[in-house]
Amino acid sequence: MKQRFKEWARAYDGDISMKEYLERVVGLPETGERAKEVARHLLKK
Amino acid sequence: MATTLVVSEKPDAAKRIAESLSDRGQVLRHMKRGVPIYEVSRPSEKVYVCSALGHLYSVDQKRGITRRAHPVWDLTWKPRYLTERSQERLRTWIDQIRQVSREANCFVNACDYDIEGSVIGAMVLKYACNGADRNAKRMKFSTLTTKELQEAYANSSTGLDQTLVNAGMCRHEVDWVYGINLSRALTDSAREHGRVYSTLSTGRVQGPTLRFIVHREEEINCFVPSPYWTIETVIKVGDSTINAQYEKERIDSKSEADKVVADCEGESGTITDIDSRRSKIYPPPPFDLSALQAEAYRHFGLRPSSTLGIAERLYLDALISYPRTSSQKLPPSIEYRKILENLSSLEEYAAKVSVVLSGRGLSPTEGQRSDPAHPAIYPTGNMPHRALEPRERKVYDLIVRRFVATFGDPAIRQSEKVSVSVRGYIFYLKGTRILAGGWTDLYEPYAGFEEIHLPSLRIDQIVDIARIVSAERFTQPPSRFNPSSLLRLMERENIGTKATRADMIDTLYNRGYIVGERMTPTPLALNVIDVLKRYCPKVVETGFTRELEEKMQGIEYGKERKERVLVEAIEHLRPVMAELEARISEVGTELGKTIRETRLAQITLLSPCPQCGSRLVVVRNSRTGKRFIGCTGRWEKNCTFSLPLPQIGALTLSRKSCAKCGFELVIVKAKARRPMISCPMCFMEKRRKQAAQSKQTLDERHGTKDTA
Repeated sequence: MKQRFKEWARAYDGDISMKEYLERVVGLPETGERAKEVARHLLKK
Repeated sequence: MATTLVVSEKPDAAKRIAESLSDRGQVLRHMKRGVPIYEVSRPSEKVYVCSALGHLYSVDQKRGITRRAHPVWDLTWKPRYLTERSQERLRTWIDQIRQVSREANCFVNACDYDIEGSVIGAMVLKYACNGADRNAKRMKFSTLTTKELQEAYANSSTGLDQTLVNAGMCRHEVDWVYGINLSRALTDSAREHGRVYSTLSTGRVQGPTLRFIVHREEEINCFVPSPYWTIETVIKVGDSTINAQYEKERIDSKSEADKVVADCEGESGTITDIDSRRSKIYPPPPFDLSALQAEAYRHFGLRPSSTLGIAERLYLDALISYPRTSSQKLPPSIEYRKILENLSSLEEYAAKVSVVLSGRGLSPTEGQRSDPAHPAIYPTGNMPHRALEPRERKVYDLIVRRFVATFGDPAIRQSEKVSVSVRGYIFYLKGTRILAGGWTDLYEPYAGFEEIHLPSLRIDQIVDIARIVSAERFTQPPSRFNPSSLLRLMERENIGTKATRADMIDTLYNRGYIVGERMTPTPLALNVIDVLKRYCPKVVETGFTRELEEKMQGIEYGKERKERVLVEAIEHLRPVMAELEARISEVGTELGKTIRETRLAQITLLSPCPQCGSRLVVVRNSRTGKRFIGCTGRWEKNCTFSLPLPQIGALTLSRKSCAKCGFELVIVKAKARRPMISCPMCFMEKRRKQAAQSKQTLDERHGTKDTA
């Protein structure tokens, strides 16, 4: 999850926070159910 | 006078063989206790033709071992009526073959010429015909046409194809040892330690196949998409507009995509290059079984097992050649011209066939794969003697058109790639045009290429950007397997055989391990694979299965010995079983938990109780055996809410809501009836209303009487 954040950060030229990234990942239909669970857990933390 | 007994694989094949061997076309059909035996009189011999019903004998444990015992290493071949309760009718079948075999002094195995056919025939000759396999002959044929059957009978080889028999027997024995031991261990562990009974199965091929599906599901579940951008551009040339592609199909950064759009918006570009190429597209090879199954799934949505079943019926009607083949070759001995001429008498193929026959010479395109026993699948040219069912007609049509197309000329396609430079950025306009249809015209409607026509363009021509936008996209997770793609993967990984792969996929559905056309593993499958991966990973690995397949192929070619391969397989399984037995309580507890959860989920409705909000479940009255919907709040909240359910047929919860009241719908499937979808709540309401109405009518009547 954290590794993929680096890709997202590069894609948006660093203009995205970890929280924003996790929120978007949770909202995407392409994201897997287990990945969404992890993202939700990280958001709670 | 010599009396010969010919053993075929199926009753339809027996009939056809008998008809072909009869000189004057007269065949006597003796129906002995429901078992057809054909009698044919030839000038110097009398021929009896009987048939098996698929496998009449199967592998089982030796006597004195209980049905639940594991591990079991001692095996023997037994009549199937002793190993499967549902096969009791085979007792009479075998008895009748035994009786007729007493009259014979010459025996011929005329089962399909492949591993399974060789084993079926050899077992019947060995056990039902008093060891006649030792000096029996073998008929080898690829179609059930009269000519080929007569030739095959006249040229029957002396002695059975023992390498094929050994390879088939070894496959059955190895699969039995794996399947019975692992499945019994899993089922027993769940029963003893998980306190729940459910038939859990796995095996040498089933385990790795299910693992493919579970592994794909894990990939999908853990998938995190990445963003990327595409540039969508429309270029205006004169009065027409054309979609253009930016030189980079995928841009990994938003700023770069935005910059391209900002720089090119409203600008004009110059055509810098026009690349025009002609290419030949050669016809596809004729069908082997896997290719036929894949194509039938693509065009008709037929499952591989259905396609195989249909193809076998067409083969038994002598309309096509033997379908269980891995060959992509058509030898000249099948007589192309004769087949094509016969096909031309069918109106729908006449025009296409005449194109082929009027060509230079008849030379089909062939693929790389070959099969020592059979050619690729081809139509025999025989006319159907009965009206084909719609699905049979479709598969037959596909096979005929593919066969005809293999004789076609290559299609010629012209591709154009026009480069447009806009302020240093390159965009492409792509067009394709079919100059000569060639084989694609013959293979219609199953072949066809999309054509994109570009207007006439020249270098240095100025064109305008009519529209340019960047679109944010996300990478997609891998797609779930469908029956066709799973079959291809099994073939690539060399697990299972062309004859058994389709059945294996059906087994996964029947065991409740997978659901849906896009195969989704159930929680039970996820758990079984998880347990196997942790406690006996070798069972779900493809490596050993593949190695074993290669060794079994070695037996087929006479390079390996059956006994050695079987011993090796058992020696591989022994430590696996020991490991599993040592941790049986952990395995059983975990499996038991999953089975209980799965079962509870299957009977729990999505709609909550309208009275107390507790969960509603489908329950059965232990006294009357009747099923109904009951509330789980009965004991805690004293809720007595219940709804009636249909009592006949298999009931499943639809997971869909009623459009009228929102309650979950149920599906009832009764034998020989259409599935019935009903809403228990609406049904109850209707019944209440009817009861109230009839009460009112009765009251009115009584009231009228009283008044009178």
